[in-house]
Amino acid sequence: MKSLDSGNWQRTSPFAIVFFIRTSISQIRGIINLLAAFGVSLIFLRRMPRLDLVILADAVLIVATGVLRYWFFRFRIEADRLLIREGILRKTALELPYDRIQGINVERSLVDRVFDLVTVQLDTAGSDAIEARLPSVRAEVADRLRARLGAGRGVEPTGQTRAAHPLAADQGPLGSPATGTDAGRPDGTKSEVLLRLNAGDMIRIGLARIEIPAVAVIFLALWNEPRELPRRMAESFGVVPVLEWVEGVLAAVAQGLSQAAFVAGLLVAGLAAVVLITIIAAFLRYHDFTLWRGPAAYRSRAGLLSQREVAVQFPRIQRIVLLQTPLARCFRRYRLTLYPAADDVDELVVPLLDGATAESLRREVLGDESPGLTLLPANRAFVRVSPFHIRGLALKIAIAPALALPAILFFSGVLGRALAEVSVWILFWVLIGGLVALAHWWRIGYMHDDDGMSIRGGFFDRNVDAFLFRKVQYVTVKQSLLQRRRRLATLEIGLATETVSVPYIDRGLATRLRDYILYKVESSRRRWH
Amino acid sequence: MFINPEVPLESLPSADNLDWHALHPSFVRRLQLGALIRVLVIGAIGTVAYLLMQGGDSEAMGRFADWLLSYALIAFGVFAASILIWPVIAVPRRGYVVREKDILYKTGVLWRSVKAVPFNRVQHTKIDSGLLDRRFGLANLSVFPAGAGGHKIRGLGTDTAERLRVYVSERIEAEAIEPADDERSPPPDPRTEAGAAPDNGPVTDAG
Repeated sequence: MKSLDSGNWQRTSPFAIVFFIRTSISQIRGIINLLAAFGVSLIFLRRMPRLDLVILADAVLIVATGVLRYWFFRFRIEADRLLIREGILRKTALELPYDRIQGINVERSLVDRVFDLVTVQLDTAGSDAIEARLPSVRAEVADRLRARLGAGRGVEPTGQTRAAHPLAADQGPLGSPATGTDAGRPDGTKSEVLLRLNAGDMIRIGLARIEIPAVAVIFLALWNEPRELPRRMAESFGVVPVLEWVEGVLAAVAQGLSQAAFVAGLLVAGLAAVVLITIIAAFLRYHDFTLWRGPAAYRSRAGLLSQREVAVQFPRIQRIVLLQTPLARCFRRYRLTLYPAADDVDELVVPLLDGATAESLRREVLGDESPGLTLLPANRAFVRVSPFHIRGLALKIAIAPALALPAILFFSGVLGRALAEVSVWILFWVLIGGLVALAHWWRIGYMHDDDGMSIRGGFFDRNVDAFLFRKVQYVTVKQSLLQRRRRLATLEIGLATETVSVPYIDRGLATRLRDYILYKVESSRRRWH
Repeated sequence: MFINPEVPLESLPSADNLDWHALHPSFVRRLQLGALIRVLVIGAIGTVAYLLMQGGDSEAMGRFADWLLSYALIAFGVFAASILIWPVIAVPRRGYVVREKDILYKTGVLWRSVKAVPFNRVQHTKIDSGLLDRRFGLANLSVFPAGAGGHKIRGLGTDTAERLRVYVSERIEAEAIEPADDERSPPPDPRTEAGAAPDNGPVTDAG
């Protein structure tokens, strides 16, 4: 076996070809999207018999690119740095000193898992997003890198490399696919399992993620054209024969049933299909979800076929977001996301947790710095903003569509003949804008203590953003014409990951908060990431 | 020794009543010239389009062009007048203030905003000036914190912009984070005394 030590340029395992093919595909997604209108191409196939050759040539090209990229991808582990060389025509050489690497994330695709390999993603410091990945390498490469990282840190007190990486501790169980469920055993490290989700939770995640508006639109369409829509969808996907067979069977069934019952059955079946798909998606993505707290980072791992591990270092967390969809509200569960500072690091998503767990996580993340905050949207401490926000927001939503129709009619010279219709149109949009604005205003709320702030918002969903003042990047006080008349203002707070805002609060309060946040940032001597 | 006295809210420095620095006097002219060029280009394109439609064989197209002209001329006139006059209204309402710990920029006529970027969050600064800017001796200063946002202060005199950039860079270094109580401590830097006057050597961009 080749040594992993300095001096040897090595290739990853040939299974990395799969990874490179995937990368190629995502890079030429535009073309793939065209091909993905597969039904259309099938319909045209009879008229353009050479299309299959085009598709074949594309596929060969993609695979060949993948193989070539694998061939030209080399990496070398040195004492103080990692070197990566890649590129077929345009060569790049990447040099990563270990002290710039913040951590190692590990991802295992299905292929990786079958052949006991890992895909290592390196979390680099700085805002310049570098794609630093070692696809499908032997697990010991990750171990070696971690050891190097630990050694490079010298007197680094956190000891994060070994202890914060549960994967390093239980490489054994994870390596063999049969005992995948055993993964995450702390195994003598200081990591502690905070949360683990089971099959029932997957079903809840699936249910919670059903997009109610999208489902409503589909059902409305189905209701109007119960027979036509499936047929048209089938045509565009090129599965007409399948549909005809299904329809033959259904027609036999439908003879016994009334048309109304048939439509109802179709709706139930449609709903069942949507539920099934989202639940399957939840299983694929979050199966066996486990969340650990290491000495320096939170770390999660999940996935049915391909497993993903995400790590977020404590001090780099910029904001915590708790989200609750309307259906998740039925079973009192939330979704929590920890956003780290850098662009090239993934955020850590906890797909399902209850309020108490969310609050204890919040207490841990914000530490004792900001004990007065809450993440729970139902908390009574949230203060609503001025009701004038409804007016401003309704105006913003309604003004363009409400005026578009009259303008078009005016320029075609027929406005005078359609005054009644136009006033109904405008009234309709004013109503819509008002209702949407009211619903949104009802959600918006904010609260803060001496060191941090929680902002509640959302429309269908409820979400709460929590962050510390000392991590703020910039502050803006904004005033529109309407706000100036009412002595109101919008406070906009720039974080490293996102800009959050508190709309329509008293102008004096907004400037006081602005000055206070600036004071907190400017007097803070702690690192913000 | 660590001391942490309570700070009375009223004593916090307020960013409300400040002496705002105006932008360079020729910035209005520069914007107007830019607007004039845009008006001329759009006008030329419109004229060519009109002549093409008129010159075509189709009778209906010619009538359509005449109908369009009556509205288009009004719209074009309003548009041209507004973008030529707008700088006179907007530019005096913009301004910036550089304080010891942050830099503020205000802008807006109908929607007004005042944005403050603390120096200890600035990642890097940038000066740029286009062809027109250079013609009037102007430059734009950008100040970037992490993430999106930050300032782009347009219409500074070239000297002012350069002096500001140097000052901001100095302040960034002066405000650099001290050895942290979190992890990943950088080596202690004797220059990063809190509140000390900047005594930097060669000034470099923090980017």
